[in-house]
Amino acid sequence: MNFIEKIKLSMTGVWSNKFRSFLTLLGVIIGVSSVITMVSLGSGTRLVVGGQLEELMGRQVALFPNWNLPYTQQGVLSLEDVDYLKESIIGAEEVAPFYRGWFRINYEGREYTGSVAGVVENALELTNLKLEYGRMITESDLANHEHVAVIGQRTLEQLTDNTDFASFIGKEIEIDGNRLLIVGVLGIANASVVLSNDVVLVPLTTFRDLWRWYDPYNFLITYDSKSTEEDIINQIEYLMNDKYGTSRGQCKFMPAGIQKEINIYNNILKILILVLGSIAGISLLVGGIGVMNIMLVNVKERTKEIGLRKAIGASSRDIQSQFLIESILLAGGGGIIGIIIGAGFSSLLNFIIAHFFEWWQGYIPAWVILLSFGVTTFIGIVFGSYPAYKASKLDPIEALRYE
Amino acid sequence: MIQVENLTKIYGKGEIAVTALNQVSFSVREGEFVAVMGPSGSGKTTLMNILGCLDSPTSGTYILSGTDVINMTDKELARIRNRKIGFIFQTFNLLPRLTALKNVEQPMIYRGIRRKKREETARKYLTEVGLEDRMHHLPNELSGGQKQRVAIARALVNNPDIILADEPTGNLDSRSEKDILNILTDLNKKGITIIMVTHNEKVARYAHRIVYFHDGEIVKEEIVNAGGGSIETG
Ligand SMILES: Nc1ncnc2c1ncn2[C@@H]1O[C@H](COP(=O)(O)OP(=O)(O)OP(=O)(O)O)[C@@H](O)[C@H]1O
Ligand SMILES: [Mg+2]
Repeated sequence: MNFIEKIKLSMTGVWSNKFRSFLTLLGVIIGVSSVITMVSLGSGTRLVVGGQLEELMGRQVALFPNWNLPYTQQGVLSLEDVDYLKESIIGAEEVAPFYRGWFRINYEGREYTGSVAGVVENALELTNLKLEYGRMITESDLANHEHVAVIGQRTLEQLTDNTDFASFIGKEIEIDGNRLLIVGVLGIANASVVLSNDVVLVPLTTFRDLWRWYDPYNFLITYDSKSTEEDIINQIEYLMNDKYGTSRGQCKFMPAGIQKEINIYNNILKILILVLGSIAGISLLVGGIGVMNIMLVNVKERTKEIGLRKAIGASSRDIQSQFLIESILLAGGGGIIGIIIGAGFSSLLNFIIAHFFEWWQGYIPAWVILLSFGVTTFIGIVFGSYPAYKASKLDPIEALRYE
Repeated sequence: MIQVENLTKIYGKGEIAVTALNQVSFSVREGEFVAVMGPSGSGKTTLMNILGCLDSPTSGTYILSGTDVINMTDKELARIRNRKIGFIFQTFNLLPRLTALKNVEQPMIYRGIRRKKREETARKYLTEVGLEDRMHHLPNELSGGQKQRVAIARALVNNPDIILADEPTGNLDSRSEKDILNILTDLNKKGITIIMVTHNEKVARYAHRIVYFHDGEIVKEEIVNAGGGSIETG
């Protein structure tokens, strides 16, 4: 009796009880879809888990007024602090001031109220924003107080239906009644702490001229690889306290690193993976027991068939392999349904998450599909062995007499 | 062809032990048609199961075509059941989800015959038993006599030397009974050895020899029709 014949024989067994088989396989189906979802989420977050997000966002700390204090007691950053911090912090590389405001932005008759930032020339590298077309704000723009703007794609999308973003270079845009020349367009941003690509960048000097603001909204401080985030934050607090004093025992400013945020991500992920992992594990176990149960019922129901097959020439081994293959096909079938459901579910999740985090890249690796097949085959073997053994050991006489 | 000596079969142990066969010795020549008769519980089916290598005796010897069957492995026994022996049961024992054709193909699966050849052979034997127009019917779409004919075709596909029929006509009306007996007689004429259990004296008269069982022992043997073959039963 060759292998293909064995598989065909077993197939008839599975197929004749489709609905019952499906119900018993729910455990396997849920288990496999959880594994796939888990791995897919894991793949999307490998940037975070692998520490690459830290790398991507750079070694940087943002400094804001301390929002935990009453408004009047919050510190106010001054441009002088740029040099003060850059010179004083041991390990600091760059200190960049940012002005931020919300203004009406007009373009060809459409209006959108959005975020406008006054920046220095190296803001791009510091914030991990990506220039897609045109050029960035230059030192000479800053020196000459040029009325130029680099505009984010997200902001553009609010102002126009034209998606040929390159064509906006050289066009004029109106911000709070001031006309500026578009010189660059920002693409999809990588992870960025202080700015997203829903923003218009203008030279810091121009920003000050147009809106007569003295005080920067926040600083971005980068540091060298020998320093730790914690050390830099401690130094900033020490230096700012030294200069501005404290209020209610707190620093009037708030240095914010990304470490905390990454830790939160990591913890959420760990919990998610733990929950999904447990669901997967428990359902696969339950699924396995389901497979065993249905196979035992099968053997019982087909006692007479087993006796007859022995009478016409089946050896115990033939019977054993028939039922073992049947159980593998059963579990494998559950695996396939699970893979389909898991793939659908994780695609949906990845789609939703990518909507909120632009850096999200969840996908379904091929190996997890192979793994699922492996696991379900294994379940079929493990939980099918006993029923198959029982079938093979049935006394043909008893089996033929069975009613 | 078949030689058994001092065959004893005891079911169970101690208090509840039942001696189904008690020191039975008997033999069947090649090409013979033997009927086995006896009251219910006299051990007829037990004997058939042992002769068919489905069961092993508690003690005694069984020589089939010159080979000792008693100490064979499960695999060797399966091979004998597959190739040398064809079973026919009172309750037909067809697989309910398979068509007549598929049912007849089953023994050839265990012999490793390819699908095309299997189908061809199964068709041939179904035609031989007069069921060429019922090949794709499921068992529950067939009459009792038709079912038994499917079972006979199934017993024949691997060219067995022996057919073991345990009350093959027990569930049939007299017309079907006659059909089945004629088929068996024809097969016997072609050289197949037949051992048939029956409760019906008329049916037994189709055989060459009748062996009477009582309480697990042979109590009488009667040669009815030395020439064999079909005879008219009034
Ligand atoms: N598996 C078994 N376990 C215990 N006792 C059994 C078993 N099979 C048969 N017997 C007993 O062995 C004896 C012979 O049974 P067997 O089936 O051979 O009788 P039979 O001659 O075929 O009867 P019938 O004409 O009713 O078919 C009976 O007393 C029966 O109860
Ligand atoms: Mg009987």
